Amino acid sequence: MEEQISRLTEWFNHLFGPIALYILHVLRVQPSDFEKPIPEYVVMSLMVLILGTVLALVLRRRLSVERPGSFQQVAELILTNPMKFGVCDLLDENVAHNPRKHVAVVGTVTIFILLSNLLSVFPAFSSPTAIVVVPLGCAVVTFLYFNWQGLRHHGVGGYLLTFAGSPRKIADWALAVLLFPVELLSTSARLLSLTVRLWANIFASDLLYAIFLSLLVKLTLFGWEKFHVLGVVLGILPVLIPLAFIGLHIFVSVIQAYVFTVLPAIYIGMATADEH
Amino acid sequence: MKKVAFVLIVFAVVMLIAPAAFAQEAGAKSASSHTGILAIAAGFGMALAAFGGALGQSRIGAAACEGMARNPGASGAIRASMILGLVFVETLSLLTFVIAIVLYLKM
Repeated sequence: MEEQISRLTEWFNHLFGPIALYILHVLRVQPSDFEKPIPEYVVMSLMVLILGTVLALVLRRRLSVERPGSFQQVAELILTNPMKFGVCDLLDENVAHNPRKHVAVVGTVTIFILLSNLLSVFPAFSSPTAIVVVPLGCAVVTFLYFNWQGLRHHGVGGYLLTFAGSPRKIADWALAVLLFPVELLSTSARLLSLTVRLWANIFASDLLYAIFLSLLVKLTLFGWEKFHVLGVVLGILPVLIPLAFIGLHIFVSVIQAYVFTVLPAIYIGMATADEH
Repeated sequence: MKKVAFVLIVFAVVMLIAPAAFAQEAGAKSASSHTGILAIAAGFGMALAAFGGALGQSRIGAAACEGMARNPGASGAIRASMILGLVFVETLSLLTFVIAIVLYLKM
């Protein structure tokens, strides 16, 4: 599959390509493409970063307790909402100790993923999360964060013992020997499952749209070769039907952002839970 | 006049979209000796994954519907855990999808 490179990426490479090449040279990394050292997903991630920062800055100037604007209310829905899937709601539900402490990290990852999933709905942009490296980055941040929280809560020895089911009696220790490698593996596998879930969902969603569009365009061209009128009539199909897949993409994006909020919340809750 | 404008807009959209859609076809196709087997493996793997995943997801959906019908007050919590369960099942199917893509790229 060949990558389509957008104008934005070309422009970005034109502006910052030499700087990126210099940085890569200093870090002794061989760039895969000397013409365009900045890949598309980096540009799109930067777009998401800029978009999120600008939205947050605009929101901060308009914050008011007495007269919350529509934008502020939407932003508050991301934190808490009546359907209980806001970031704060999920953390309150799953984390026992001081859940609001984790809103910053978990919420940042959520908003980054939500914006970057939705980015490919707009023309001339593409989702950075459709490239496997970006979800991996999000997963690594989450993984390091919940392990760090577990280490802070239990201490190093205590946290390692939670992997063995916090043994107290002799019989527990016998079981712990079996439990420890399994738990260690399943915790490490969270990194893989978080990455692949997000990446494959967004990638498959994009692919579905592209495949249906190409099928319908082929149909239209076939009709155009038979009769020109038929081609025009069939030309309505590739305009209308892929819209349904854009709707599906929006749905999948929101669901994946939700999943990437609830799973870190559960993991943090498990890492910082006290055995009774 | 309006009709002509509409037809022109449709054409413009199709012309704009078509190159992006057809660019997919021009992918590198290095012929290997296992192409047929790889294609069968990818297709059957995807079919099995869809089969199992659909069965599992249908059970989750049915159970969630039943629970919500019996106790509409708890529908919020049921919906949340239903989505979580659906996502876990979907992940396994998507792992197969990833493997199918890897096989496709090897063809």
